[in-house]
Amino acid sequence: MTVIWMTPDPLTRRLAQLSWPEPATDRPNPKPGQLWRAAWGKTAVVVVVVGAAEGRRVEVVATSGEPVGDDSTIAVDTEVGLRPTVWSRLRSQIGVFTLDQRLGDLTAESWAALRDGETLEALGQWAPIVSDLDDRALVVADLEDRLRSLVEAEWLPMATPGEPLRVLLERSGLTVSALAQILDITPGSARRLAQALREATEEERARMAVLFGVPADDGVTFDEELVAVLDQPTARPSVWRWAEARDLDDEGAARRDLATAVLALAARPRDPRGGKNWAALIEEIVNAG
Amino acid sequence: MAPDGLSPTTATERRCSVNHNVPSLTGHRSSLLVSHVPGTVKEWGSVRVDVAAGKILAGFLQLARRAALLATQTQPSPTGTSAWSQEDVDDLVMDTIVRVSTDKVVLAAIQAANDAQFYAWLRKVTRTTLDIRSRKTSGGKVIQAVYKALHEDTERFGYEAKAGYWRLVDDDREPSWSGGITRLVEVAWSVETPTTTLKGSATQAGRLANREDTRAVAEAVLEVAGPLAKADLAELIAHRFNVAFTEEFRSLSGDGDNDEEEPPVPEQSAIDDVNLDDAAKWLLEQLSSEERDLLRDRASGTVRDLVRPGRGRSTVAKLSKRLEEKVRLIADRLGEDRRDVVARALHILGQEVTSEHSTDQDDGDLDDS
Repeated sequence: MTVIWMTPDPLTRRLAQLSWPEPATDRPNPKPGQLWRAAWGKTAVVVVVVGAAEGRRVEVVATSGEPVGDDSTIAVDTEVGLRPTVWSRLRSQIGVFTLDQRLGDLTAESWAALRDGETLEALGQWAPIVSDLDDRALVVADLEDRLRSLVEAEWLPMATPGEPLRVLLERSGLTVSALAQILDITPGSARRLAQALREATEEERARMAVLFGVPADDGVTFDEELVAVLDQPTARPSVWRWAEARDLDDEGAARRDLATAVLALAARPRDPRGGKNWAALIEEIVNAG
Repeated sequence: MAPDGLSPTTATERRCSVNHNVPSLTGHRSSLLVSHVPGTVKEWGSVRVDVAAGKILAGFLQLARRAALLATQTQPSPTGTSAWSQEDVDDLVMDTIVRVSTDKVVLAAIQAANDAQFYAWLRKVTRTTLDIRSRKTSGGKVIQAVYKALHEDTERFGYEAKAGYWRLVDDDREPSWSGGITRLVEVAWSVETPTTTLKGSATQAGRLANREDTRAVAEAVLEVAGPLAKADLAELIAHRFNVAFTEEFRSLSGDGDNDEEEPPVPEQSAIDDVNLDDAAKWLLEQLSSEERDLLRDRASGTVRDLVRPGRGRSTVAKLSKRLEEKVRLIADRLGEDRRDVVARALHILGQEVTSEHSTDQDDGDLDDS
């Protein structure tokens, strides 16, 4: 624990005499039995990873710091001194990209108890919740809401109704330069838009809908391997640096913006020897600012 | 970029029809169509981040002291004066941290999305510490409450002082319950009562209801379990009436003969005789702060804003259900011609909001928006 030692503040000295946990705060590949902080938007929740990551999702169980539970809960010990209450019935598949930091690992005994379905009810400690007027019901509702936010989180571009922009341009005979003038953007930006290398802004969508008479789908998709790299918790600090450099408040938008920039970088003629090392490309472009 | 939490979203939030297919990444647009919820941006210079990493720095001390100062604004100091010394405040901070334990402080910081949420948690646990100090919600207080309620009805309840057991008067079983707490908690919840929280009531209606409902639950439990030790019965009552308690019941005494903190219940009072204000205040006593907020929001007609950060769909649904149930139970107890209680309660809530705004003015810069 880090505490300001050499200060005259007596409260500091008193706090320093207590034993404080020291969470790991690293970002390895998530594995079952690990305690993680997951966060997206204004929602954060401490979860136990209970399954191996499958594609973009990982199975977790919600925990609470409140010393309450029901017949499905179990208090677990970790190797870092944290002792959350695990609500084993609040289980969901969340996006791997919502994992923020590993806090520590459950002790072998706790992980075995959780895996084997041992609960505090079996130990006679917490009764089932049988009434909505039981305040524990609110703890459950809050955890359900937090998990739902993580389940519903997504940063990939959404499909929008409409025809592909490429088709609309061909049909109308409009050149990229003309599109640039109409949208009041640079020719390079218009070209990237036409080549599905960047998302259209809300204003651009509105203008194109008027121009073509139908909504235009910018058709932006990202390479599957690039998405997999960006989904990993290890990529999150790079995403934040990118967001800060571009003054982007939303991580989803920052991820899409970063992915677009990485794709553009990858499209340039490069060293013919190597394939695409997405992690290296991400670092290169983030470091370049 | 906001150093603490999110500024109003700049993300696109286009709403599309939900498609539950697994997202396809093979060069095709994702078929998972959901609205983009603003993502998390790293917090810089955040107290929460430091505490979540186990770092107890000056920022945390400042936040904890601030929470303590706010909680003590309407409370006399430990020495009985109105002014809290720095030492009193620091003692409260220490007591709170020791009570909840350090790992829960770190977990709360980890679970919060930003400083505002962490600060709200600090305020809540500090207020609970004060409540426990004043014996509003301690185990000893519950034992006292059970004693007072059951002792009023000696035709139904008997107390064996030497052994410390409560029993139903016509029950000659030996104390032998070994079925665990789970079954008895379910029995306790099977009794419908307008009292949902057993804190000391400032209203005549509340005091009447507390004792009547405590007796109703105790009777149901004792019928199933047979004679129970006073600590066990008190623990069940505490579970049933959502009392926050941290002390071990078995280490406490308290048969109710001392520490008379609330006015006695008038003899031969009927609950439907209480005046409108008293009934409305009793209703409000049964509501949590979240339920009061929801009642205000619903009364103002802003349905769209019911769901907001920190109060998601499940929470709103649960709070709404609880609110309706609590109002129904109290109205049923008061009789059909007392439906004006809710309107009066809303009026009192409105007056409280005005009062709270002037108290909480220094918290404007920890807005969780």
